[in-house]
Amino acid sequence: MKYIFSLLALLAIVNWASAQEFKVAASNTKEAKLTLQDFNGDLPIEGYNGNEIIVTSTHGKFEAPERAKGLKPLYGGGTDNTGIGLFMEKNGNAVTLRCLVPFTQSSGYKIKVPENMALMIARDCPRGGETTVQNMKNEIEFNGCHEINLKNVSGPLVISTISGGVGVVFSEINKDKPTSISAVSGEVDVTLPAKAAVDLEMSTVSGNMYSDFDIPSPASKDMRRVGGSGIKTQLNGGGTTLKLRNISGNIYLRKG
Amino acid sequence: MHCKEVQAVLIEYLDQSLDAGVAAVVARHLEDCTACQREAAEMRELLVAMKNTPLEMPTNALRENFNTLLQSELNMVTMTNLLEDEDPENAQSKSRQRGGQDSQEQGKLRSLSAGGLGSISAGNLGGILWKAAAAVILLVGGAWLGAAYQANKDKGPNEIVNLQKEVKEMKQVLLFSLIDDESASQRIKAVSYAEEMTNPDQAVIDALMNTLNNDKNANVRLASLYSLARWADNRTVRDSLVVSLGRQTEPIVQIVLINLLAEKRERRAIDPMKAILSNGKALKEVKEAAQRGLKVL
Repeated sequence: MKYIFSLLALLAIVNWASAQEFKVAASNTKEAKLTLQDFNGDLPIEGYNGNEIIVTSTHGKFEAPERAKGLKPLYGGGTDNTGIGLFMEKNGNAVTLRCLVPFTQSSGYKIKVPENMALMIARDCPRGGETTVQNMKNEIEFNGCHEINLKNVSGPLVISTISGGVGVVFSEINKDKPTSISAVSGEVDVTLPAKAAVDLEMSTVSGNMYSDFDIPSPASKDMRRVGGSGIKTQLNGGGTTLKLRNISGNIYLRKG
Repeated sequence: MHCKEVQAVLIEYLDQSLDAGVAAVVARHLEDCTACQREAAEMRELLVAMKNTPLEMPTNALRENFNTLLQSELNMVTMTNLLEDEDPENAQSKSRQRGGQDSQEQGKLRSLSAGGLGSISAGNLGGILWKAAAAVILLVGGAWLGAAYQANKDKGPNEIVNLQKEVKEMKQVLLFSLIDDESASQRIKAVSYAEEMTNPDQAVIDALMNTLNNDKNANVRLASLYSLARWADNRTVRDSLVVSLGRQTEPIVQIVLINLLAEKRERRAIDPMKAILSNGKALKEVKEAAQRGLKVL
């Protein structure tokens, strides 16, 4: 019986795996930008050294029935011009992908992105699911509600989430532009290269802060003005601004 | 000679900079060895291609831009240095400390250069001349720096005020040029320029307030709020913060704003806090903060 179930599960996976794909050419440069709006479910994003944005639908039905032959699929949010429930708009170096599938229906995507593009992700609270980003080399802006995890990124990062945590493993840290991460009730967990030179500001209102970096004590009283506890100091002589803020969750700052 | 050795000297051979004996050996080897012949042909092609590539020259505009950039950076550095040295509030006490150090250092300088001049007769004249020249340059340079420092001190607060004004204007220009940038990170940078201002203009406060209330990124709003928090005792800033609490939509900004106004015992914040408590859509954490705030007030 057990085998039959696992066989069925496998078949289901195989069925999902017959995924559909959408590709659009994009320039792999720092000036190019990809905006992702309203995606549902888990959203894994991966940078790679190429010149195409490749979106794969991991589940969701986009094969039109026989009756729909010659008709275009319609959604409340706009017209599907990708064949997988997305609206794509390209304007010079900027590409926008908006998910049209309502959050009441199941859908899921994974996306491969030229690694030098800037990334902007906006996800409302009803659109649940974790966002993961790895191997990107430019600015990432995230305005969301749930968990986000980033690996092998160089920033700058501007990230805010409400009920999920933020996990970041920096490969290196951008020397020019500030990084700012804020969460409300999740945990902020950041791993920096041990030699990263940053001007560090961290504060949490009712959580705690932990780190294996040498933080001079007392760091500064400057941050106390807005309640809770805060630290303002320099690591390795100071450099790029790094702001970590949390309300009720903890902040972990680790040496990579 | 083996192929490896031949291939190691191929460039020199093709460049005709190899000495005749070795060149002859290489030439003999090349006659017999097809692999090395191929290698030599490829190398020759590469060398020719490299010779024929026109030299890239930077345009005049590039040089000009670089020079302006360099100059403005230099101006900025000198100005900040001057300001750090001559901040009017603690200039007096600092210059008193400095005075002591300076006379000591000048004393050292003099005794060092005297030693240098005294030893002329001893050594090699050419070297000594260089050393003497260096010593003279050091001495004159030092004197000039000292004079410039003194002059600066004598010029008094007027000069310093002017410099401070210029730096403030420069920061304002930077702030305004970046505050509408498409990149959220750049906007945070813009807002952080305000953190370095002690006495901001109304235009700066207005720009920060606009960012606090309307920016589409919570982190940028938050950075703006932290900058504004430093001037929360200023009447107009405080008024605007109270108004902002009633309009704010970002939970994290709401919470920090509630904490700030509660800490400042701002009783006019009571109404917007009550409004948050009775708002069904408000986040649990925001309501808790409002509750704590109301208890304090």
